[in-house]
Amino acid sequence: MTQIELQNISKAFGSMTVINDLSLEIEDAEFLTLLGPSGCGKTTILRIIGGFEQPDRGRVLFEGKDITNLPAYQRPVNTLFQSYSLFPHLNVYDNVAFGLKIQGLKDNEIRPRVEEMLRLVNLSGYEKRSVDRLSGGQQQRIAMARALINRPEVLLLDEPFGALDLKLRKDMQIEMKRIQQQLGITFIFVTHDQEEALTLSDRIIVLNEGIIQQIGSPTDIYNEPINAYVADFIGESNILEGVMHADYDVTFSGRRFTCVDFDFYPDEAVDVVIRPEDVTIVSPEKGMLEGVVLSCLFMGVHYELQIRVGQELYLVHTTIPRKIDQHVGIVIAPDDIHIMRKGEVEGDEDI
Amino acid sequence: MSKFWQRLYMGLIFGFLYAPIAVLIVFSFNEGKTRGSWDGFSLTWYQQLWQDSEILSAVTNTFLVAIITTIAATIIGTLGAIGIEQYRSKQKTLILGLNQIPVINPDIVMAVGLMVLYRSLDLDFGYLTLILGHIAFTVPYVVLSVLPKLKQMPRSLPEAAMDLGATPMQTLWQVIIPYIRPGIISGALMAFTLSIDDFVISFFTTGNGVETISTMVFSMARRGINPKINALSAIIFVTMLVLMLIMNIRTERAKR
Repeated sequence: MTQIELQNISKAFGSMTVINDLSLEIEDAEFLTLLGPSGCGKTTILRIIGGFEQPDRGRVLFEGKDITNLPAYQRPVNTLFQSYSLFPHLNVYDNVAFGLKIQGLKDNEIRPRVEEMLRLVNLSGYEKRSVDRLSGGQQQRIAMARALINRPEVLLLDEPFGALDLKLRKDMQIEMKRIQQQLGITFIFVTHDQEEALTLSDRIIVLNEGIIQQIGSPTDIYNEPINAYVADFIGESNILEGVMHADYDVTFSGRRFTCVDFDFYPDEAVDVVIRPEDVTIVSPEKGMLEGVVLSCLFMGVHYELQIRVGQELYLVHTTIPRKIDQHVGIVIAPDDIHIMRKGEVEGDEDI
Repeated sequence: MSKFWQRLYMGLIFGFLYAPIAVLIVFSFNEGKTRGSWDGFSLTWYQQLWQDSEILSAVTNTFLVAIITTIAATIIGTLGAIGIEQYRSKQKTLILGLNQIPVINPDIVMAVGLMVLYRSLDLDFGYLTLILGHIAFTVPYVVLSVLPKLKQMPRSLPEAAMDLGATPMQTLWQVIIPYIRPGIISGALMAFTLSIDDFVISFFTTGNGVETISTMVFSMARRGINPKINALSAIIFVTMLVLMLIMNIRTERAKR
């Protein structure tokens, strides 16, 4: 069921357009991630849903009702801010209880709900603590408890893990996913971290310069990126200039390859995307292409090789190290060759 | 050796600064009425001070004016600072400049200006004109002491309150005011001390027999200073010293 709908939203700050005619439907109880580099408009979208920013054009609907002009304090959504924004003059208990006190609930109604929330975020017994004496991860949990106590139908999360170290970030990600599934509410999550997005989301929206590039499940977006931008942003990719002669027939790196894509104009210029892990290294005489190893870095699970093929550089992941200046052959399977129309974005195929 | 000169230099400076106050306090305990010679210790002047209705009414006026001024200037200045903080940078600079002018402007200009303004409005000189004058010259100081605290407050803090359902009014009272409270308090203390301290503006904006301590002392001085004034000045000095200490301790704590 559609819960939130953005219709033709545009927003500019001064002369800079941040969001350009964006439309979007958000399903009930899904974990949706807005993914993009800084300045792509993802935080602005979140702030428009939260009611902190007014769109210049377009409407925001909540369960079919127009809430575009509803102030933040009347919206059934709550936000987990990037900087947590706990109230420094209140202790943990009063921070979490804030939303209920504002509603005018009585102390004996508030107390059990605060305790329930602290249990949910594993911080029972911290009621009397001052918030500036908590660690980053604990502050994060309190902010989460504070945002969830109003029982919002949607939680907005603005890069909540930015300030945490890697280990803590992983723990909090798991925790957050657990809470989302336990409560069954919609999470709209903003991040520039593609790995975080792939791990947590039911659906990902990839944004660039205020335009939706692609919407899809993490596997869809990783395996079938719609254009070179998405491919490059999600994981590492080799992006090569190519020409599509006919169905299943493409030329790049000076050689003709068989691929699995079709439905292009004859001899259309295309982007060819190949994941580094899909390139197989063989002996020079057995390869489809021949190249020279420029560098070989140990990355933990694999080695990352740079291989020069003619004028182009290939990034290759392999488990066997190669010597620098070694001549190698390269093999790419037809279904590992992804052909992309130049500049295509989500929704283009419908036109 | 150099340490000796350092200490001597410092001693001379502080001696110069504090000698008048020391002499004043010492002579407030003088038995006799002459200012030049010491006639023995006594609390006469302090006792007489409490029996002098002219002095008592001036003290009452001074504190009455200071308290009303503090309350009004703190409210106006705090709300003003919150308002100024909402503006975009260019307008903010302009308004801050306008706010700063009364601070650097000589008191006498402000005082004469107020007097002319009251005259042209045909106001009766007395409590109203005096208090309005004091509010006018203390508000900018309150604004200046509240603004840094507001600047320090993350924008997401009031947003978090509204996100949790607080109306703008509830956000102001329950989040913004508590956050900037240290700034408000030091602004209030500053307004209070400035008001008590003031002579120039009071002199030009009061009338109809409403005297503050400073205007009273000034008119007395023409008739010859009564040692009761020494006693009064000593009390004021100690009061101000205590206030200043409180203010300094507060700012030290805020830093930590």
